[in-house]
Amino acid sequence: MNAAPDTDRFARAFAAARADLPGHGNTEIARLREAAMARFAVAGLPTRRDEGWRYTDLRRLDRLDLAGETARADGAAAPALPGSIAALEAERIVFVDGRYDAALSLRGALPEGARLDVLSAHLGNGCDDAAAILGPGLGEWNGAGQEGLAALNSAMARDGVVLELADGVRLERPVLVVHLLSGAAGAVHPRSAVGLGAGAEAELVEVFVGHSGGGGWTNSVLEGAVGQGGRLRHAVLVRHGAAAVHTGRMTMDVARDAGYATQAITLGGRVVRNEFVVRLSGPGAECSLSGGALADARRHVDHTTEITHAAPHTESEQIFRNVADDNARTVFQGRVVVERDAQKTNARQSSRSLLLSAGAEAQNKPELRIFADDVKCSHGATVGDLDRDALFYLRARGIDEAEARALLTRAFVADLSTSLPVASLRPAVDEAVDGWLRRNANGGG
Amino acid sequence: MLAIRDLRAEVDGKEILKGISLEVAAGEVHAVMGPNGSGKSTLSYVLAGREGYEVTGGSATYDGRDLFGMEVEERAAAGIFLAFQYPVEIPGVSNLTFLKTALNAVRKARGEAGLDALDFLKLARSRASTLEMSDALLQRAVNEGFSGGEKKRNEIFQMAMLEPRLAILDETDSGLDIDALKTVADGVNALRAPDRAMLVITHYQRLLDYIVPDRVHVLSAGRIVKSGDAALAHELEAQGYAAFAGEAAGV
Ligand SMILES: Nc1ncnc2c1ncn2[C@@H]1O[C@H](COP(=O)(O)OP(=O)(O)OP(=O)(O)O)[C@@H](O)[C@H]1O
Ligand SMILES: [Mg+2]
Repeated sequence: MNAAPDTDRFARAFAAARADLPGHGNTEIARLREAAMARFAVAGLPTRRDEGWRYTDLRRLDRLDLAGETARADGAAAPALPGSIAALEAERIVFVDGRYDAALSLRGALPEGARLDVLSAHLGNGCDDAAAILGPGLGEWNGAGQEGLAALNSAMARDGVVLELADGVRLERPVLVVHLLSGAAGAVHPRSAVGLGAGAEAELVEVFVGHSGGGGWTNSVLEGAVGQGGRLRHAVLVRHGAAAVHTGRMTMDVARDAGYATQAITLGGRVVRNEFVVRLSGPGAECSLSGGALADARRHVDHTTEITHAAPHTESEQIFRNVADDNARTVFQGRVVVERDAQKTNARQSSRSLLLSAGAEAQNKPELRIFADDVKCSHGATVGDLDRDALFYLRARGIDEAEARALLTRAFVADLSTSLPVASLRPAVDEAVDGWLRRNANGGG
Repeated sequence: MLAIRDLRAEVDGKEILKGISLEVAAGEVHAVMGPNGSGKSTLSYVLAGREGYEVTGGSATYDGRDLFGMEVEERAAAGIFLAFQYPVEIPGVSNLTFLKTALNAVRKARGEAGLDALDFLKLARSRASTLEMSDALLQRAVNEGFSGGEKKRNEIFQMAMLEPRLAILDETDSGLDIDALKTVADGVNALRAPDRAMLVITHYQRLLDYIVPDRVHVLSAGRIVKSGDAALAHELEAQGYAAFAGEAAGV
């Protein structure tokens, strides 16, 4: 193992930041951060020798100066909130370079039984659930190779949201969490926690936006639990700058008869990894995971999922669509685990990749680990080019090649649009996708 | 309008068209008939510019322009329309989106303004109803899950929307029931005009009862072995292709 040099750099960054991290005066929180840093020192950053990291290389972090915290950008240095995002009717909470920005946020009244805190304030006010948030919870649970990233996040977490809904509470409007990143050197470690009581319902949108050429590292963790019969609809839109690194880990425990639907769409960043870990822990629980990337240049985008069916009569569906142009690489790794007691499980997985140029690459790695006998599991994975016959048909009707390619590429990702869990986000996603297509699916091949 | 001279073309290194000459003047309808595998579709693809169909000799001009120097979409914009023998299914692209994009691309190339969503929809609805195309078919993905007859009708609907100057219909009649044949033929006839021309590829006299051709050509093994007026189609129906294939051998 050559983890030592890595962890040294990060230990120094932690030492420099600790006196200023939210909750630093609280011994319990300080102890939790110390413990997290100790776990990171053991685990280190994942390498390609770690299971689940064969296709994605984080050594880019070494080349950039990303150990320390990103300094807070002054107003002018941060990217503006995209219009399509600003237009969303939502509880909007904005972070600039990982720090809460009250001026850009837009808060309304919440129903009784709903709590939506900014993490820095939550920890700073001496909360009683710090252990649940920063302890080795779901975020470091069961994830080969990823514990290090989550542990580092626990140690360094500065901001994010804490959303708690009591039983039966439904939010009228989505919670919109926006991270604006200046792209300066260093790392931000957003951390959010979501807890929905029985029958509670919410929509959560996370958006990461950087300047087009921006760099920096975002190491995000979202942990949550959906109580019995509850519903969480979640969407993540990653629009980092071209040199940025993003590691995002979302873990969700889904109780009896509850549902979790999520979609991650990546349109920016140099190296991006979105990881979903879902545990269907009660009978009747279900989840729908979808996502994909539109990747150009030399971008590398990895979507990795792990769904554990831990109870009978649970259902999961996965739909991933990746598009790679130029020399981009996309990765989809989808693992479904069906535990011994999880009879009558139904798991479907479909992952397709579209290669728009000869230099593009796609990996699809579905994996089933089934320990029950009465289950239905299906997966389909394809990698292909644009359909030549369809291209000719469109061109024979007068549509020029660039537009024909864009039409077919848009059609390829149409399944994502239909399965987007937060309907009100659709215009923003469409706009982002259209923008990408205008810039890229241009027949250059 | 269209002048083809001694056209030779190959697919996968195999010569399919072996010297075809054909002249279609504005206002005319020409029928091309011939046995399976004689090269009818190949001719239509070569004229439309499909990749993989390599022109190895001869020439083709359209309104005096070298057809083979034009991109596929340029040919379409210049008014050439191919109704495919086997229309392609395009999942995820709605028929209307596809057609609006196509129509506006063609209009733009002709120097006309694009239609807005409302005007386009009005036009599409009115043309569709003439061809008895349901709204549901317009909304669905291009040809996806369409029946054979619905696909053919969709081709003619696209033609009616794009108003080409040279329409090449490749076996648009096959797969159509008698009523549909009549509807489609009406659609084609509605487009006949002194400044338009058509090349109608078919196996059956039946279609030519509705769309009466000025000239009929028999294609066999990559060559035109006989040309004549509309009566030739009746002759073929009575005698079959075999007699003409014999003539070809004697050429
Ligand atoms: N990709 C290909 N590779 C090799 N041969 C091909 C290819 N495409 C077509 N051909 C051959 O070219 C010949 C002409 O085919 P074409 O489709 O033009 O015939 P057609 O006259 O349209 O027949 P039909 O009446 O059945 O539609 C056939 O022998 C066919 O097998
Ligand atoms: Mg044919």
